Amino acid sequence: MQKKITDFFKQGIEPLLSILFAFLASSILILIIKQDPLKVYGVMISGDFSNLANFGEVLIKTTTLILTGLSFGIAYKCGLCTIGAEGQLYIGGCCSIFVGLYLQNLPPVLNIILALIAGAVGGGLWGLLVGWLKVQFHSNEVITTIMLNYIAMLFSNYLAAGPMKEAGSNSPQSAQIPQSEWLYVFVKSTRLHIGIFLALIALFLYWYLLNKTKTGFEIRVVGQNQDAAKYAGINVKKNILLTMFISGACGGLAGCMEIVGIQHRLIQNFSSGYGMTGIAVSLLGNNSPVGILFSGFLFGALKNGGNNIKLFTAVPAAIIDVIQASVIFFVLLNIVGKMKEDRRKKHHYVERV
Amino acid sequence: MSSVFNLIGSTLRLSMPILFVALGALVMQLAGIVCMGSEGMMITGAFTAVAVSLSTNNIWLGFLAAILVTGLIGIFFGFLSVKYRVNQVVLGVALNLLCAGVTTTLNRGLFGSTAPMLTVSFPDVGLGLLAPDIIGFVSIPVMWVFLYKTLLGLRIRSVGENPLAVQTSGLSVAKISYIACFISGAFVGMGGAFFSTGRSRAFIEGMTGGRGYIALAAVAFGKYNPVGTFLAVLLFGFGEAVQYRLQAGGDNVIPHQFALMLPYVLTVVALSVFVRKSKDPAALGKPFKSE
Repeated sequence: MQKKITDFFKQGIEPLLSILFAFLASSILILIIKQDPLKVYGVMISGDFSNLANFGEVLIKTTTLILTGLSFGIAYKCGLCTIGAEGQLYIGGCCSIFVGLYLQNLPPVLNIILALIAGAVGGGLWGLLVGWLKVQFHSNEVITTIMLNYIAMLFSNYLAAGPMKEAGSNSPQSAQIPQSEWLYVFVKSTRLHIGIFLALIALFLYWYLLNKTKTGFEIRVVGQNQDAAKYAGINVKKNILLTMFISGACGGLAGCMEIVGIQHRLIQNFSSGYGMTGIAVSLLGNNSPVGILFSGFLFGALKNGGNNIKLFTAVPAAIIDVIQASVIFFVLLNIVGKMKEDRRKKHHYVERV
Repeated sequence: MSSVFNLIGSTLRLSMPILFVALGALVMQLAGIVCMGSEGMMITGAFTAVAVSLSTNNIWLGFLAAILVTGLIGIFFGFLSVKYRVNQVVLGVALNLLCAGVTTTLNRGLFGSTAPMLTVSFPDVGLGLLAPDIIGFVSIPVMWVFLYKTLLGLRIRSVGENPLAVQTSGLSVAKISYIACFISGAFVGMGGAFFSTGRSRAFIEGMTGGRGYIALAAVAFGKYNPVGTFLAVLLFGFGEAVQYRLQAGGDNVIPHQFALMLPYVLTVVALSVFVRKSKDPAALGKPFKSE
């Protein structure tokens, strides 16, 4: 038990240092544009935790980010590097709003469930398209996912400004879905909806799938060594397709959270970078369920803080991108790990001498 | 007939910035490093060129500054890829995010929300072409000669194909990679600089809109040689030219969002249907571990 706890802290120290370094590095940029980093970070933190409503905002962003993080994480386990959560999110959102708007004669609970399923399946098929292009034509999933992100975003904007546009409205957005079809808000005076439990369930299923099932085992083997997987009789193509569907379903669900849970209508560019941040979430959390939970919360707080920075300081919200990118850099550099490795090497040489 | 010439003209004009970026990406890819940071380097080049041109009133100084800055970013990218052997795709995503964030932040900090237009411009060399267009055209054969007829070009390609052989012959894999990354970054920077200071003559946040990635696709589509890359870039430039034409027709012809999709759809189709057999360098994306 003692060992487990110390291991837990040891695992936690590395990401925490990465975050610390990222904030330090971003301070330089804030100083360059002649602003006070401490004030900027102060605004960010107080905007996140000053009252219940703000904290709720952090948690709803955490919800979406956990799901986009899972979208990247599961594919990464299978050796795929997808940048596609952004597009999956748009497609998932579009599918869920379709159910919300046009199947209103269903009982509300059924409508919500169907909207979530539609979003997950829509996102899943969008992900599956990437998998199919990969196994059929060997197209590089990195490029195809990026291109499909733009396509999905434009398609969603087309729906919002065209066929789904609210009659009589001047802005490019759909009508609102009735309140009975929103994801239930369970803390008064916040926007915190039950989607957060869905995200937690998804985290559990992710853990269960990868660690307790044969399919999960196969996915991990394919991710580690495709040739070995083939040799062991594992159907690599099938696993890639399945993984991309699951990845897409997670991204699609993230879109449902935004649409059914928060916006309640289709608006243009509703994602604001959740897909890209999901990559950072997954990496910082080392692709583990607990890690993704914590880093989802961290980036949720960052994202929400970005809005406050934009409102209350002269620094644009883009500073959040800088912090996020810096976190990824420092995670990649794996500073603590490298130091340990160096020390080990030194010992090694001493022993040999 | 004149509309055909117009279309050819706008295809060329729209292709040129992407051509620079693609030639840059080509060099890095041939050296075995995935040029995922092309989008970020391009926007950095675009911003640097505008910022320096505005403050010095000399457009060529802006051009040079962009080359230098992105060249250094290229070396940084190469350093992390070669020395730290990190996942190059993830590194590229981080770099692109960083560059987008930094350029936006600096743009607001230095110029406020609306950046001023440039008053200086590149010399017009006739036929509606600007001086950097000519540099672009000349770069294609120069790049070919460099890659296939010079020792350094051979070494860069060898690092991408078989780094162990390079090391065995007593050369430094890292050093050659860094040189390739600098050249690569410099070209990507030129593309960015030309993109902002050339015809739009202003910096707009996020203005590259995925062109860095499209350039990367053009390299694979062009079968990893400068001429093929140029032809691939022309195809994407054509897609963009048609897109603008369709948009000008108004939403009655085709919703403008679908017109805007065209270059991206073209990229997916080109990569999937036409790049049957990948000619990726053998060591692409696999960091070399020297023993």
